[in-house]
Amino acid sequence: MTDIHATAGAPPVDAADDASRRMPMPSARTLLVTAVILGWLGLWWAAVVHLDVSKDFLPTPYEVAHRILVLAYEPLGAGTLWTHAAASLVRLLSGFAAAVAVGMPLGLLMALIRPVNHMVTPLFELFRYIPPIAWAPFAIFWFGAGNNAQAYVIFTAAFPPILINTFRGVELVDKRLIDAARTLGARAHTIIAEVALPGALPYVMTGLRIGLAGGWMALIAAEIVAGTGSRDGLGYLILQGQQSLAADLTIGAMVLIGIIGTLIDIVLQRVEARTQSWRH
Amino acid sequence: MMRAAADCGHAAVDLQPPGDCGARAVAGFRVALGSRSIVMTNDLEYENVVMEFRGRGATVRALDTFNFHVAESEFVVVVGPSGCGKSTLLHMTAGLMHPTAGRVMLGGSIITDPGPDKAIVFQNFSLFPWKSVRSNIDFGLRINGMPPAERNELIDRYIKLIGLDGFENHYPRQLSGGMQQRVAIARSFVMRPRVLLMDEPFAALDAQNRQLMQEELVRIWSAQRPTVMFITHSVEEAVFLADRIVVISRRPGRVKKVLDVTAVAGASHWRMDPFEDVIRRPDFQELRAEIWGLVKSEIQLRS
Repeated sequence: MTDIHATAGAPPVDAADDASRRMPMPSARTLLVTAVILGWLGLWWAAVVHLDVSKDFLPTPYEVAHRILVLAYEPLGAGTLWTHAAASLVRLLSGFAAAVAVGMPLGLLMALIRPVNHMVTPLFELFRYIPPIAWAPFAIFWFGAGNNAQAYVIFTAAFPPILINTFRGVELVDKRLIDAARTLGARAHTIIAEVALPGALPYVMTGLRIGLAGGWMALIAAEIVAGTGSRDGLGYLILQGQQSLAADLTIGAMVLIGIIGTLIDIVLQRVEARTQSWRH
Repeated sequence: MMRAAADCGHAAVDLQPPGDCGARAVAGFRVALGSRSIVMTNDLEYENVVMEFRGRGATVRALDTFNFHVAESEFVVVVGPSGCGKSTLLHMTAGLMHPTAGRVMLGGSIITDPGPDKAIVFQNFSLFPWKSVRSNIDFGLRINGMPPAERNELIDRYIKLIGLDGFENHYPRQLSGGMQQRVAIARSFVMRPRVLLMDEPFAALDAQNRQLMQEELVRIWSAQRPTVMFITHSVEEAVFLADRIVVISRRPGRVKKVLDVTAVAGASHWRMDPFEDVIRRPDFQELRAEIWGLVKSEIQLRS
């Protein structure tokens, strides 16, 4: 509560800028974000304590954090917190890698070769409106309940945005740049590698970010629905919390999912900024 | 061909008289084909060229039986009202488009594909924004297989020539319009093209930069003397730069009139003198007025 007031009553923007100029770390923005998060946590805590909420209904932030910390050294199911997070990340990356390996070349071919576009588009339009989780039972038919089925569900979530953005990006590359490359003697492979792909990169990066975020969200669903048999993953933790009526575990796993998702996106933003230094 | 270019022509870049390089200056440049050696000329021949575009239902004729010949190392400027097919003409010469009927020939052979012997400089510069100045100029040399040492030397020389030393590692976005167009011009000249095609290259620049660039173009061009087809909306620019000026009629484009500037501009040609001096000459003004009259009549006919 107090934190929120402190933020609201903070000095005007120019003063905050001034502060950020004097202090190299942490920046004004980081401080603001931290203050806002602390404010919400405070609100949560105050609500639970003042309204005397049952622990099974909504635990305090402290209880949630404590449960997660315990999980960091005390195994549950297949292992500790790290085992579960790593299991989820491995599934995410394998599904995502497959989506990149199929989506990017296909998007590129669709943009470059019209018949490919005509053939793939109707199928793709159908495909992309099927929610990833609807694939889960089918994925189990094909791959059996386990990592591959889960990776496939992630694939279905990450694939459409990667394909669409690659396609759009390549299609929107300035045709005059392609003409310029051709008059300088460039052949198809050079044009693809040095003009089409770098030109499409901003779009491709956006597609990767959306795809990875979508894949991460689909993963948890996949672990809950298609995860029968495996005893690891953050989705498994959520399910365990539900089955043992441990709200602190379920919420803790959810918070972790949010944190890891944010971290992944931050990494990708860094990569994006680095690959596009020429834009600034 | 890259090799032939590297062997002979680049000596001339140091602004020495082109006489250095006999074969090139006199009759074209030599290309070794196996054991044989032939002499290629760099003249352009437009023979009954027709270009039509199919739109929604209607077919638009952009160029109609266009006939013209550009001599080797000649500087030809094309003027005409908007939409008269000037750009189309240039794109066909570059091999980026093919005529509906008729033939466009470079050195006697029909132009089929784009390539580094037909360099083009675009109005919007068309530099690769993700490549530095240096890699932009390097691009054509590298993909055509010139060895790195040779390339580096050439690039250094051209960067100096266009006055951009110190900016090698800048990205196009960090440069002014004039600087970007200098890079684009260097990127074309470094290929030692047989023909240089310029599509309103200075139209996006302010008046001062435009004038500087015209003088700079003359300087670089006279060291290498490729055949030039130059398109512009500026009649002054045309009169200053051209050996001959082709006035094209409104759509469908045809040759309306060809004017010989060299007859007026003298043996050493006034483009070698400062622009602000040349523009005051009465004979310059007279020619300018004549051409403007021709272009204006086409625009007025149109509306």
